[in-house]
Amino acid sequence: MAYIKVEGVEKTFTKPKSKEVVKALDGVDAEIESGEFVSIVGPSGCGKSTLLRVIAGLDNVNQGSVTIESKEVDGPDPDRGLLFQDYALFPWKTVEENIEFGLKVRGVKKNDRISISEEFIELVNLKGFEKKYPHELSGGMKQRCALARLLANNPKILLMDEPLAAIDAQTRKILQEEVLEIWDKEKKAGREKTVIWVTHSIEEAVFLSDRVLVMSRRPATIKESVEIDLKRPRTDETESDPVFAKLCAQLWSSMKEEAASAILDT
Amino acid sequence: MGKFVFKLLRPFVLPIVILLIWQLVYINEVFLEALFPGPKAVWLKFWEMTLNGELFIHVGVSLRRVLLGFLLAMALAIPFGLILGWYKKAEHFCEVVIHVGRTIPIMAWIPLTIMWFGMGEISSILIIMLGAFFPTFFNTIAGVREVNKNHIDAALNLGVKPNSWMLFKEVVLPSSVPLIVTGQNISLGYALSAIVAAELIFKNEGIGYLLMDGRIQYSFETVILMMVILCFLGLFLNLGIKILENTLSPWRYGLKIQ
Repeated sequence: MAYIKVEGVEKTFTKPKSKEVVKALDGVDAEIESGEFVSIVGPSGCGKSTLLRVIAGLDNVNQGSVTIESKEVDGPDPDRGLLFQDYALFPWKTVEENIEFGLKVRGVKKNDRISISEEFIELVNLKGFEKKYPHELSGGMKQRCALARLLANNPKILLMDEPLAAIDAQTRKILQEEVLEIWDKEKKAGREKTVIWVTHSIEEAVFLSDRVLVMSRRPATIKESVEIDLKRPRTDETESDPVFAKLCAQLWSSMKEEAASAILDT
Repeated sequence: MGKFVFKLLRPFVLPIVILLIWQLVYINEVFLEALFPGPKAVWLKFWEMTLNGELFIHVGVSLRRVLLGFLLAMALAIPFGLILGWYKKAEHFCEVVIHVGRTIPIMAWIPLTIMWFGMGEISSILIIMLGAFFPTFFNTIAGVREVNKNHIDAALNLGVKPNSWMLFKEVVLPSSVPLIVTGQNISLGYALSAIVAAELIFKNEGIGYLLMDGRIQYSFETVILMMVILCFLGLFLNLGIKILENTLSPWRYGLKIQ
């Protein structure tokens, strides 16, 4: 039995004005093992974010089910942490207070909260910015803060919704490596994380993942699952590996027709 | 350096020009002196009323009424606004009463308050309360309603229960502070209008009373002085709100720039 099992998930939306019913997910099936790093790529607007929100329990399904360790998802749970595309940091809380938030909810005492948040501030390289408000941070720093806020809560599953989409190319490169390092450190600290990483960048997906799922255009299904047979730790050299280029090409050819026809949609 | 000084002085150029034009119109006797006093006469009146203590008494009375009425209005508007913003059904239930209540002009309440409470302190404060209540009340409802959906989702995702006190206290309340404070600023303006209206009619001390008294005695300098005093009172109270705002939501500073 897979750790995360997505079975025949269907999700429709009704557009608020036109009352037009849009089918976002049309029978999505996926199985993800514990500790796996899986990316989902697909044409824009295909429903990748919807799938994450469904797994997070923030949206209900119309059909099918999501089960985690054989338990059906029926609402949000801090064990399934979602990293929002626009960070969704609380602007009225400082970096420190944002990171402590999940702990505060669980009733962890102030002193313990401080020591835990310090640990994660260090992990995501935000030292010296503890007392800053989100508006004082750059995009990359906001995303680090959001990541620390999630990690401090120690979720077993990380659902990452295009976390690096709004970040410039150089910073993005650095953050990709940092994410892998953090993932590895957490594993070594006995806090193994299963990651589902949504992105529209094939290179990013290949660089980070154990496996990449290709989603079709809307209404979306999982079209293909590609094992990424590249050794870890992944570094700059990974990208010059011929296997890397081959995998990217393979994924692109799988995604190309979907992306091309998706342009004609909406 | 020169540039910096100019930048600092720029907002004060226009008031000085207006003051100069006033003085020019006055010394050229464009209007009858009795109907159009110069700046100096107003200044002298200010000194006279300051020295005999009259000014402090009346400004003090008005200020006390405004603050009391304003605070009482806030004590009602914010809690009710929060409740009605949070529980849609409660708002729906109160909808008709609220909208009818809001449509009645503040001044229209004056005869009723006189009949019930006379022309004294209670009536003055009630009128101010009514004037100050609605802007903050509506803004508080809007503040609760317009909380960013993503912030709610983020909180739920981090373990907060839906519709819980935690969600209200940690997310909904702080995110509605900026709109509440904006409402308070508008309320303050209404409170000042209301106090003048009430005192003009009740003739029971205060700035509005002096305004009316000035008219009766044909003391134009008093009338103009009172208008200037009202303007400074407004500025002073606005500053108070501004300070309150910066203490309550320091994070808002950056949001305005974006």
